[in-house]
Formats: sequence, structure tokens, C-alpha cells
Amino acid sequence: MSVGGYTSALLVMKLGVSTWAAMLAGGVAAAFLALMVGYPFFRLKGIYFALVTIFLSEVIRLVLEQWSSVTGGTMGLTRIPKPNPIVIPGLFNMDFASKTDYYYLILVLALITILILYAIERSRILVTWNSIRESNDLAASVGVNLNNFKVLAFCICCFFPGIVGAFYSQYMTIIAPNAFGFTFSLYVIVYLIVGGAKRFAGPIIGAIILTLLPELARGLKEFQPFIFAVVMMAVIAFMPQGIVGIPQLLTKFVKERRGHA
Amino acid sequence: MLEIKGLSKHFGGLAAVDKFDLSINQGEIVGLIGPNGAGKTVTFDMISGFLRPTSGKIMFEGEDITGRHPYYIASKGIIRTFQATSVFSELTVMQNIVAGCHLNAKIGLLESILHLPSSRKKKERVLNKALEILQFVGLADIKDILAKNLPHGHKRVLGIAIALAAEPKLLLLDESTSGMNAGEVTDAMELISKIWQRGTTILLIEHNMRAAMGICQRIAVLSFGKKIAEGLPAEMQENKEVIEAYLGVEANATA
Repeated sequence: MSVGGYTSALLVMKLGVSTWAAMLAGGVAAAFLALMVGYPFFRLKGIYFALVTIFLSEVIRLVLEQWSSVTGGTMGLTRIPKPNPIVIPGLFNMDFASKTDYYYLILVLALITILILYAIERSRILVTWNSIRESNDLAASVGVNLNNFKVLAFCICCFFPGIVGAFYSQYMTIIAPNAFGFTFSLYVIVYLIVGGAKRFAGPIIGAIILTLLPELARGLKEFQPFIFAVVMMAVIAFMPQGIVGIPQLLTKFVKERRGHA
Repeated sequence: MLEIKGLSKHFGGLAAVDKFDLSINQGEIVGLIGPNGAGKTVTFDMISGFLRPTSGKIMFEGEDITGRHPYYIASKGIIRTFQATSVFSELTVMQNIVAGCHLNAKIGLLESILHLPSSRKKKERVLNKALEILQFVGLADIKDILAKNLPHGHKRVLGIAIALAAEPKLLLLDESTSGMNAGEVTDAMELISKIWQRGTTILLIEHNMRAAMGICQRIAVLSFGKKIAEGLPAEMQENKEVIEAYLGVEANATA
């Protein structure tokens, strides 16, 4: 996200690129970085892969802090231009003066993202990715080039956060190296686990609930990490399928009850 | 078709396979047998690219494939099965086969995501082919069951079916009958023989000596990483070294 945010902000501020092209470029830059580090990273497996991705995000943060001539150092970039207005005469006029305009923009971005991901979910290539998840060796034995498919997935996974980073920079009009910290990355994983990682709707539901819940309980803000931790552990212990698995869990429960009666 | 020369694999100081030679002609069905730990699976791992040989050469259809990646060797037409990890557990039987069709159903990312007519046509072709394979191996009735819920015998057959989906020129079968009861072994051997009759060249590892004898045209025997004999099944049954390797102490006791 930092990569996307900085890339798009710099493109707009230093090269005068249109904000929309810059937003796309933010996504492409993040995907490109994934392509560059993907092949060496995927030599590692499981937890070790997770570790190097965390290290990478720290490296990016440090680079952004130290390379002050370009990135503005720890202060970051300020006065990033707002998105260029979209005007369709007579129909609507979005000049991004109010938060409402940003809301509709991110809503459209979210819908497009979900649409693209859903298309992937239903595509043939998903079977190949699933087969890799199930068994690396068996997939390789029928001719799947593991590295290519893993890196491709990694690139797609980085493209969308890159776009979001660009959106963020144009929304806040400032961006600093610590904008997307380690805690934030962890929260994303909590969303995934609480929602349910195996189903398409899982992460979406997890993100919605865990974003709205803290808004309802603002007084407890200092305790948010604790609450998240407890919620996550409870989900792992009692519903490994996540929130999307609740209907299944209930039917199973009812059936067992009937069985005993 | 396949030409193996001086193939060796050393783990530290231990020679798991030592200067192994074997050649297989198009259309043959050859057995690789030997006691536990003789190096049969290591040999398979080297042929299929999962292990890099310490020394030696593997030629397939005139091309040197020694030490190439598994996916590359698979794309050349050598498909193997596994002793242990044999199926994609969380996928249905049908999806297992579709996953196996990876090589002959190359669909680009964009083509696949946009659901273009060309990809739909390919998808249909793959599904038809998968169904045909399932009918061939006799799993068509249970195509929508999750692979992890299959009984052991069916899992082994599914493992073979996944390999078939990849359209092998040379099929490497690693102990297809392990853990099967007598009836299942007979069925599995029948299936393998049917695959062979369709024109697929087969090299199989077999622990069940009788099963191997019944089906193979030629047999190579490994013991402690060395090939100790090769020839017709009947010859192997009477070969003194082979009997000793298999029966060890008992053979000495009766001698």
C-alpha cells in the first residue's frame, strides 16, 4: 500500500500525471515489486515466507524514511492533489470537495475489485491454485509450474492494495512512511480469519464486521487490539471456518440434537 | 524412449541409488522391484525431477532431462504418481481430474477471467475429457464427492486417474497397490493393464511381487541402491540373488 501511495503521489506531484492514471500506476508498481521479490521469496515456505514479507514491509518503510530527497523522509509527502474531478454535464459532478464523493469513489473501487476477484474465483485458473494449495508435489507432477503460479497470485494480491494506497494518498492528501504499519497488516489477517478464509465472502464479511464493530464501541478504543485478539482466538477455537461457516455449524448442531432426541 | 545411465544419488555418505542403468522402449511395461529402502522411490524422484541426481544421466526421447524441474519433465510427457500424497483432498473427484488436465488445457489468465467463448469451449472440452477418464477408471458415479472422503482403494485409483489426465507418454506408478486388499489389488492391476493396452508406456514400482510378476514384461530388481538383476518375470523368480535379497535370512537358513 505504501508503494502504491508513494508511486501515485510522486507521479502526480513531480511528473504531473493525471490522478487516475497515477492511481492505476500505484497498483502496477505494487504488483511489479511483487514480481521482483516473488521468485526469491517463494523459495521459502510457510512461516518463513510470511516472515520475509514482514521484513520487506519494514525495508520499504526504512527506505521511505531515509530517501528524503524523493520521499520527504519521516515527514512524508504533503499537499498531494485530490483526484481530478469527474464531470458528466447534466448528470453528475464529482469534484471531491466533500467526503461523500470519496465515499462513492471507494465504493466503486471496492465493487470493481470484488467483481474481478469473483471472476477469478469462478475461473479455470482457480483449480490450478487450489491444487497447489492442496499439494505442491502432486501439482508439480502434472506439470504445474509452481513458481509462476505463486508469483502470479502474489502480484494480483499486491495490485489491489497498491490502488488503495494511491486512493489513500489522494484522500488524506498526505502520506508518511508509517501510514500502513505492521499492526494494520496484522488486522487484515484478523479480518481474513474471523470472516473465514476458505470462502469467497469470508474476508469481505470479516472486514465489514470488524470495521463497524469498533465504531460502535469507540469508548473501548484503547482495548481494540485486546478485543481483536480475543475474538480471533475464539473464532479459531470454536469456528475454524470463520463467520461464514456459522450456517453450516448451526445445521450440524441441530442435526446432532435431533439425533440425540 | 527412456535411457538411464549410471544414475546415482548420495545422501551424505550413503548411496541411496548407485550407478543405476535402465532403458525402456516405447510401449513396454516394466517393473522395478526390491525390498524396502532399496532406492526405488528415490529413482522415481530423480526421473521425475523431484530429486537432483548426484551423478548420471537421464535421457527421454533423445533429450537430456537430468535435473530439470518437475513441471518441465511432466510437460515432456513423463507423469508420476506418489506413494503417499496421492490426491487433492479438499477438491471433488471431478476437480481432481480437471487439475490434472493442467498441461493440455492451457488457458490464459485474462481469457479465463473474462470467460471468453474460447475459454468456455476449452473448459467444456476439459470437462468432457475428465468425465471420460472417470468412466475409464470407474469413478464416474462418485465424481462430486470430496477426495478426502473416499475409501483408500478409490483414492489410489484417483491418484492414477489424475496422472492419466496429464496425458502421459511414460507413466511412472509408485506402489499403486500399497495398502490394498487382495480384491482391490486385482482390480488395480487390471486397470494398469488396460492403461498399458491403450498405448501408454509404464514403469511401475511394486512391493507386491506377485502383482508385478503378473503384469510386467520385464523386471529390474534393486537392492541397497544397486541393480542386482534384470530380465523376464519368470527368470527373476528363479534368480538366486533376487531370492536372497527378498528373503534374506530365510534363504541362508535353507541353504
